[in-house]
Amino acid sequence: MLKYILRRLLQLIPTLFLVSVVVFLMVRIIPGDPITLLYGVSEGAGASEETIEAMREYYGLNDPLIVQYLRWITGIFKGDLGTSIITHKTIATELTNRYQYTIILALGGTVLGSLLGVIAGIIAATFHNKAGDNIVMVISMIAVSVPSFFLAMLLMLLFCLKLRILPSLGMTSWRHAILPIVTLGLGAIGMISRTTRSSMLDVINQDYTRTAKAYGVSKTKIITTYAFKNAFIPVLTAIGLRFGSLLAGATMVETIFNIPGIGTFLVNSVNGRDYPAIQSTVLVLSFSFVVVNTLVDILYGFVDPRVKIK
Amino acid sequence: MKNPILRRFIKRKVSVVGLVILCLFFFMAIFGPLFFPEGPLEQNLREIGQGPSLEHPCGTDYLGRDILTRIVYGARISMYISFSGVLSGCFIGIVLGVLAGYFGGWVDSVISRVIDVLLAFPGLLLAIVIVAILGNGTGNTIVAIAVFSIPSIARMVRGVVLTNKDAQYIGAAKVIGESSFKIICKHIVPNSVSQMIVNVTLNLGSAILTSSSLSFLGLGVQPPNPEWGAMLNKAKDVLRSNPWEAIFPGIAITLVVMSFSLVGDGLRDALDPKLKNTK
Repeated sequence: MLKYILRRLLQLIPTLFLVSVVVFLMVRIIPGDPITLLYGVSEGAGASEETIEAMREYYGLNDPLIVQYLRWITGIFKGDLGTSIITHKTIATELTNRYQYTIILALGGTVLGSLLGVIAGIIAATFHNKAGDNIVMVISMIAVSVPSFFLAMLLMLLFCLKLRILPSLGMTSWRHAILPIVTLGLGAIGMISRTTRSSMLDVINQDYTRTAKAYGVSKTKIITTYAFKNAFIPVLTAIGLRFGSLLAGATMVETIFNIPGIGTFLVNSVNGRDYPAIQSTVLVLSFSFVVVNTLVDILYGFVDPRVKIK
Repeated sequence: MKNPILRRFIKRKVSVVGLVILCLFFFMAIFGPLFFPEGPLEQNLREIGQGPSLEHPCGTDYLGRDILTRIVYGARISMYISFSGVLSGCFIGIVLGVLAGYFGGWVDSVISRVIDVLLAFPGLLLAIVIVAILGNGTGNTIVAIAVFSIPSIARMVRGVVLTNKDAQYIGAAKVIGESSFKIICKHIVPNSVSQMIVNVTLNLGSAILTSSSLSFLGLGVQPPNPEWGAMLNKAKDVLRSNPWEAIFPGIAITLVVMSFSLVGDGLRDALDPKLKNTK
């Protein structure tokens, strides 16, 4: 088991390295450079040549690319993600202050979506091709199709503006977290319930399920103990992927509910062309995504011993 | 009905409904201007923020523009962005997938690493990064959608090529001296067409979601263009007083996205009956 975990962790290194190189280069291939874009060079209004040159020197943009990359990467290992060009605060403090909100939303959304999705998927598989199945499939089809920002607006309209039972903007109490989490959770139901359903159906059609039936094991017991346990791996992937992408994908919901998470920081940085901030935020988000996916892979090893051998 | 694919597709009623809805939106996108000659930017300051009525079935917005007209013109933008983005992305993806699967070795390693990197950016993040680099606007949204759809199709095509590569008929083609290029175009690509069609259809749906999300964040198509996501962005501020301004464009996005996945699922079952039997 330890060997398997180590191997998966080692496989992580090249991917993370490549991602960091790509993120680094992306920001460098921008037409024009951040300093000129930030201060402007239009006649009269913009900063003088000397100021721009001084700023370029200050941010180290005149050094060779490889030097810039190494400086950036060693900085990251020391916990230094650079300084925002706009707010002049260190990006590390910005992100640590904001990460908690994003994690609350992503975790809450994943847990809620998984609970509802797995139950819905089991119902659909148990009543395959009957009314229950059809209802669940229609709901999950709608859930994957509604854009999260539209769903968020509908919920806000109903609970904040019409019924007035929940606060709409900000993140100052636990009640503020309800609607964002419900939005993300409902969005997650679609994929999780579909995965659960098809994976359960796979197992239900296996020989050993038929044998269990022939031995007179009750249907409830087959579904809850045998079928679900074996069907769980694909479901786990779906849940893990969902959590990983919610870390980044909470952006829409954060924007609507005005929550100071990572997503809003990213959108603000993009709008303000704050390249150091964009670079580090994207790196942190994609690193978390890749790491979460690896952890899910490692979990497989515990759930299903067959995985380790491959 | 003679054609078994068509027969299987029609048997799935929901997919047919999806196809009808899509056709309706295509019709709107192509012929909309004939029915709504006044255009999506026509303001009428005497009719600001009106609810749905006979004259304005979806109401008017905060500048007195007719929302139905804007939705119809928005269909044009959404279809244009998602089709040009997904088709160009899929072309690149197919080329990459074929190269990786057919030649293997270091070509495969390099391409697979590139795909891995693209997949390391979760969900919308990749699209946001691209518009962050290139700037916002319709053209760059298309580039973002294109890059967004590369990995899934490249992976799928690579898999198909790998399973077909060692088939006897490929060996036979090699023996009679056909060039790699000819083998790829004549034998390998046609064999994966059905899966490509399904993949493109499903990608079109997510492209609509992605582009409208970008526009909603203010990073994609810019106002006053009647892109659906951009309309919802503006509607956010008047949600309490004029909810219809958000509801109708939102329904339009949902319907189109849902129809693409319904049609995609239907096509999968129709084109690949084996797959359905195993379920």
